[in-house]
Amino acid sequence: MKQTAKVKRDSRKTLKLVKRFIPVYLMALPGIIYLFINNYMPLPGLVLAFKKYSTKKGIWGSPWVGLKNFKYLFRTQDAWIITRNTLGYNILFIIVNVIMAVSIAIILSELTTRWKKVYQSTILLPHFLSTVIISYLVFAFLSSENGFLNNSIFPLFDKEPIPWYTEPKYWPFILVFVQTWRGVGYNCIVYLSTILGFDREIYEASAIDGASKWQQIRKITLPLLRPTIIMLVLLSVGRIFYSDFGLFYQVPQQSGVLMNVTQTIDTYVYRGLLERNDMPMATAAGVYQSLIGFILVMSANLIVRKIDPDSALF
Amino acid sequence: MKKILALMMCFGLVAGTLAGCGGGKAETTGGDAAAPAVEDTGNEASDDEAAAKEPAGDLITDFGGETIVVALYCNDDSVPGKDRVFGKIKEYYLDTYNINVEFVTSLMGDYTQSVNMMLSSGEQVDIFSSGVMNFSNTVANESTYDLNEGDLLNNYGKDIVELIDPEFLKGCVVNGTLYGIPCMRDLATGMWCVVVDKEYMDGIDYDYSGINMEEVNPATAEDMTELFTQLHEAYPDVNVVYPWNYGYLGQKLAYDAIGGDVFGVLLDPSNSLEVSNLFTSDMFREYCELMYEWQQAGFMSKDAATETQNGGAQVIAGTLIADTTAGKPGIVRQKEAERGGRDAVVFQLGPDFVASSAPVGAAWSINSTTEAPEAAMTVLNDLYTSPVVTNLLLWGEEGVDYVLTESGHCTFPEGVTEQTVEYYNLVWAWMMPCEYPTYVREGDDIDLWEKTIDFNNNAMKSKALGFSFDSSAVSAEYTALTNVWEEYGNSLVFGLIEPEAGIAELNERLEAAGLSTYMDEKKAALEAWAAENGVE
Repeated sequence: MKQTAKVKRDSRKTLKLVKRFIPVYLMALPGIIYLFINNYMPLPGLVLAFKKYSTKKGIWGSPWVGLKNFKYLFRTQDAWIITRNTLGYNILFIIVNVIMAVSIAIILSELTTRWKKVYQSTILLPHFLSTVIISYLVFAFLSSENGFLNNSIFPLFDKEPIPWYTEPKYWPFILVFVQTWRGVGYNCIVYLSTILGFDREIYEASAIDGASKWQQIRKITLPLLRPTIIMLVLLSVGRIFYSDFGLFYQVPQQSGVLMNVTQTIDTYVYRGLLERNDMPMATAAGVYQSLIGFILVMSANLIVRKIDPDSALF
Repeated sequence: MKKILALMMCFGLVAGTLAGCGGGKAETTGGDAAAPAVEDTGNEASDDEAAAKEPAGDLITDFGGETIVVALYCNDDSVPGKDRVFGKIKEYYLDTYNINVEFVTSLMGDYTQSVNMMLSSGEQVDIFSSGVMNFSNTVANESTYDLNEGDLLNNYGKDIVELIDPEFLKGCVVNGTLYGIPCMRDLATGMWCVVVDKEYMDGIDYDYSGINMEEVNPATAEDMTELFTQLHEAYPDVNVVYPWNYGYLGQKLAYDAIGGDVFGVLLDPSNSLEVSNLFTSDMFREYCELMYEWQQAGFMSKDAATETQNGGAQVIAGTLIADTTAGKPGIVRQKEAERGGRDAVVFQLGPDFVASSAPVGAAWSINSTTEAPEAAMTVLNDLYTSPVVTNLLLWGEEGVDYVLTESGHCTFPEGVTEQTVEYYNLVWAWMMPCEYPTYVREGDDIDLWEKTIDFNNNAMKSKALGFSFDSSAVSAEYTALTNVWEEYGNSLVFGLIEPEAGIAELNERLEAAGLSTYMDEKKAALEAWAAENGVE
């Protein structure tokens, strides 16, 4: 960082700089190629959302149908429910995740015990589990007949068993809990590594001035961490219109009664189109989600730039 | 020299072989008389094709090594003997028609996606099962070839024409065009069959007089309730019955889900073409009430709606006594095999019925972009009717993978078992275009296929047989309705919610999702179809 900052931006120097960094560019090349193939080459395929697809005529030869393929996303009262669930859950996830991840990162950074690594790995472990496995772990807790909660915990407190998979009211909590349990370890790594990069001298100086641990956290760690938090939140805002398909489809065990609180855009599209396997309609849903996501990222970034220009992404 | 030639052929074959098919054992085919043509595999075969095509009017008998790719859906595509057996089939086609047949396989669950991928990317695939991929959607996507163009079926599919009842063939006609060939297997369904594990019935000293252990036994819902009550008393810790989820409702109630969905059905399909709402019908209400009764009586698991294991696995695990199925000849043995060889008794509560969508259910089609429709039809013809091709596909090589018993049954060769045999279970008989020319497995009736044909012919048939429905004009409604039905379906069919309130709520939601619009569209399509085909 220091070296690039010194260089003035005239063309000769730039050229020299490019030459100097050729090996670095070469190293980035596979990544760039991957990004191009994976993220940019399929973009023209988006026209499919506005067409009536025929494999005989191909994507380009198929006739245009305007916005017809989008209609089903807004057709019924379901449109409101799926939008509410998708946005609501994602907003909750973002808030809870940030609070939990930052707290855990700070706690881990303050720990001096040699078990620190063990704690960190344990918190991270759920991130590597497949959603299918997670859904069965949850099922092992909640099942009406053999579930751990209904069979082992509740009898200890003389509580009646709860039919979890037919009671929608518990699910907003269960889903947030599961998502946090799974995601928090991974999120806190980023925060933890940032915290560990902070200059220890600031902390030492404040300690000499008599700052308590709590004051250090509030006055030093959190303000320094702010740009990282904002960046990660902005990134998740971009995906706010996508839902974690596995979480909403597998974890509730596809129980119909719960759909009011577990149906999101992704599961709705999947359930509705599974039988028909209608590519234009599926593409339409994707276009809609990315468009809203794009608008949200841009506006969130705009707001951040107004308040705190240094923290904005671009 | 020979080595180099073999290497070249091998290379040619591998290059022409598509992903997932594997050409490892290709040398076996390269060595025979038809070898020169093999070098022309891949996409460069067009020159030969032009040369081989005889003047119009005469039928082509030598296809000049044309490559035809068949996409199979299978049960287990990692069978070790796969390449060897496919090589044998290829050899047969090369010798008989000089057609180079390649197979691509994918598991049942991945089939739709992988074939769709091949169709949209332009990769060569000539023959595929449009039925498995949702027939009307495949037709709407213009992926299927018009099989009557240039009299293709009559010229190159003679044996198919002979084999298949025109009544069933009509089922694959959309707007006057034939787009597929029905899969020839049990097209009728024995409605509402209950399969009870015999061990538990022994435990309550069930009176077996008048019970046929080899076939289905007619029974009523009351009989079942009585039997289940006794079973539940004797085995309070085991779930008595698992009636499968709402997707299997069509295997129980004899309504005809015309057009392939339950939104607007024929309630009296053999007599009337009136489109009605299934969910306000007595049939549906009575079924939900029965399930509610069973659930309240404790016959069913409270977790039934979230159950992911199938009935057979639950029986093996010792947590279940009975499940339901669709009946057909040989069903008892099939269910016993699913249950790890445990004896079972099968009761049937409904009639035998051919729904209007049965013929397209697993129909096979030719790709609309195929370069050699004649060759594709020829290949399809033998996939339906040749004992050589069908038995290779189902059983493998005679003497290696199977032997015939004196009675004409098929069994494993000596010293080989189900676990050690190289080629077995790649496909089940019902996954093939036609199961009739194949050998019957030891333990089954030797006349199983004759019985199946009779079963199809004698079953009650829907008047709408041959009607198909393109729902793309009302796709928004369709998506909304599907989601509503999924929300309520399992709760109702597992008796988890009180039927009266539940059904009322379901209908309210369905109306809000556009049920009447959807049904009107279907009604209009059915009327147009009936007028065109002269059905009263």
